[in-house]
Amino acid sequence: MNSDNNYIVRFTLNERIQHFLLFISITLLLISGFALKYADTSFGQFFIRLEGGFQARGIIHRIGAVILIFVTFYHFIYVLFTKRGQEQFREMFLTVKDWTDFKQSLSYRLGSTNEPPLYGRYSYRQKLQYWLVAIATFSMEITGLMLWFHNESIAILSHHILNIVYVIHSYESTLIFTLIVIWHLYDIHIASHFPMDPVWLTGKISIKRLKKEHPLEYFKLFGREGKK
Amino acid sequence: MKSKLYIMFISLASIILVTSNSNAVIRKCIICHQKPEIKKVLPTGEVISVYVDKDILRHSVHRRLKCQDCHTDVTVIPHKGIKIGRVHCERCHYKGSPYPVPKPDHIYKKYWNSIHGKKRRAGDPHAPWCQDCHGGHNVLPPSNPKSLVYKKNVPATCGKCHKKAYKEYKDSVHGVALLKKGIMDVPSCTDCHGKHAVYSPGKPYSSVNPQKVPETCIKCHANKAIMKRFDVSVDTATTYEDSFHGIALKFGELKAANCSSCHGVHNIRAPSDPLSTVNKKNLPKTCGKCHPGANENFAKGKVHLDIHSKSAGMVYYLANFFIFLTAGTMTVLFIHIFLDLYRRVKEKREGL
Repeated sequence: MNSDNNYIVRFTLNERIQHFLLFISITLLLISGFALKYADTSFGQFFIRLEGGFQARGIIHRIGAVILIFVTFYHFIYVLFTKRGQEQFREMFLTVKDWTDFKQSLSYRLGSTNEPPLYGRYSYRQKLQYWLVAIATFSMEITGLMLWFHNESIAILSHHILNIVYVIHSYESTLIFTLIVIWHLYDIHIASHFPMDPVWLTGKISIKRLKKEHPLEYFKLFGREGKK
Repeated sequence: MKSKLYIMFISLASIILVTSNSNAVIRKCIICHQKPEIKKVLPTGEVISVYVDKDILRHSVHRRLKCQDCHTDVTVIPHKGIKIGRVHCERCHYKGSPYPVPKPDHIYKKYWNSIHGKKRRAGDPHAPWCQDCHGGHNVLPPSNPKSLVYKKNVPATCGKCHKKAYKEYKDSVHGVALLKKGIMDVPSCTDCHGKHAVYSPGKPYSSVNPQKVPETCIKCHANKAIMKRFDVSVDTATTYEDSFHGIALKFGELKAANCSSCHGVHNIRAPSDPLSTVNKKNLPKTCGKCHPGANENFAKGKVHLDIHSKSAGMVYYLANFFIFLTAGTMTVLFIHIFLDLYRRVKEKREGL
């Protein structure tokens, strides 16, 4: 916390690096993955050329995978064994309040109420995005590893299972693109802080913004009648 | 008396007519060359027969030519001491030839650039040229069932040199259909390899180059009319192109499996045939060529998988589930963005 210049640290350097690695790996994975998925289109062909050919595309995809797996493991350890990580993880739990927040936000947006829901450290949308990323990452990592080591996984499981795994891996990518790239970018970065919310890089959030966007966290930190 | 003379005249006339038509022109040479034991010793020491079967010559398209029309080196008989080379067909068969004969133009170019022509230029005595495939004295139009280059005879013709390929082809699904069942819609050698433009598979422009193999097979295997007759699916072509192997090959990964990597080359058989390389029992071995540790589990599951066909079973429903889920998510997302923008515009308008 740094109240001297009206900022508090929302995300520590450690968390920002995790987010950055996640961002880098997902970008690499989506670009090299879609290049293969849409290889029959000019879009796919352009990206395969851009990535230095078919083999290089595969290597880039695997580099992205290794970064993602690393950050997943790191996040696990962070959440399980550090105090800060445990606290943040607990903040991510979905509660009944998130459901009521969702309903209130809906009626606020529709205009039937002028009271926006009061969010804590993480809004219901941020929590939902976290969990969706978590599920997506897990399933993509498992299916991806099976496809990476396809000789072994076919020998153990059968070609039929690998066909299913391939379809999941391939089709889930579009879903992830929708959720992470479009929704997350719009909701967190573009919509209110065009072109992006600088918090992901600086980690700092102004107290004024904190009071507006995360009032319950603000009250917790500074009390109901806190400064400003 | 008068009638006897008449009969004699007719028979004499007919003999003269017949002989003047065919026999007359080969009369002198044939005196020696009709002996079955007649041989020639090549400079290499190789002994070859120079026997001429009159009967064959009589039925050839060249039956009206004189021997020396083709064997131009022979200027006197006996031709002792004269070096007699091979016959050059392009003496008559060339573009602009005044004779009423087939006048191939580009074919010579194709031939000399082909693997056969190149070897011939390099001095390989075994490399075939025109008469090795088309026949010498027995040359006939390709449409004639007796021609060496008639579709059904092509495998045997090529097989004169390419013995292993011929042996495999004979028992393959294509070979059995063409040679035993007489089905003309199946490929013989030249349908895949080309006729005069035969290149070694290593050349990128060869129709049997790994990267060109799918294109070559697809010529027939994507043709609904042909495939329907044999009850073979046409989506093998498209499913291959969509598969990882197909995409990798398209982008130049030559080690990626093409059609013949799995199905075989000359020995292609129906998957139900126990000797087929893609028979369930043999798949582990076939996959194992590239995929170390391939076992019977490699044979469990579809290879030519069409995700968008109900025949794919679970995979089809799974893919559709994801398509609907993604579409649903996008819809919700757009509603979300729309509502968000709606509220923002409203706030701005009301000056909030």
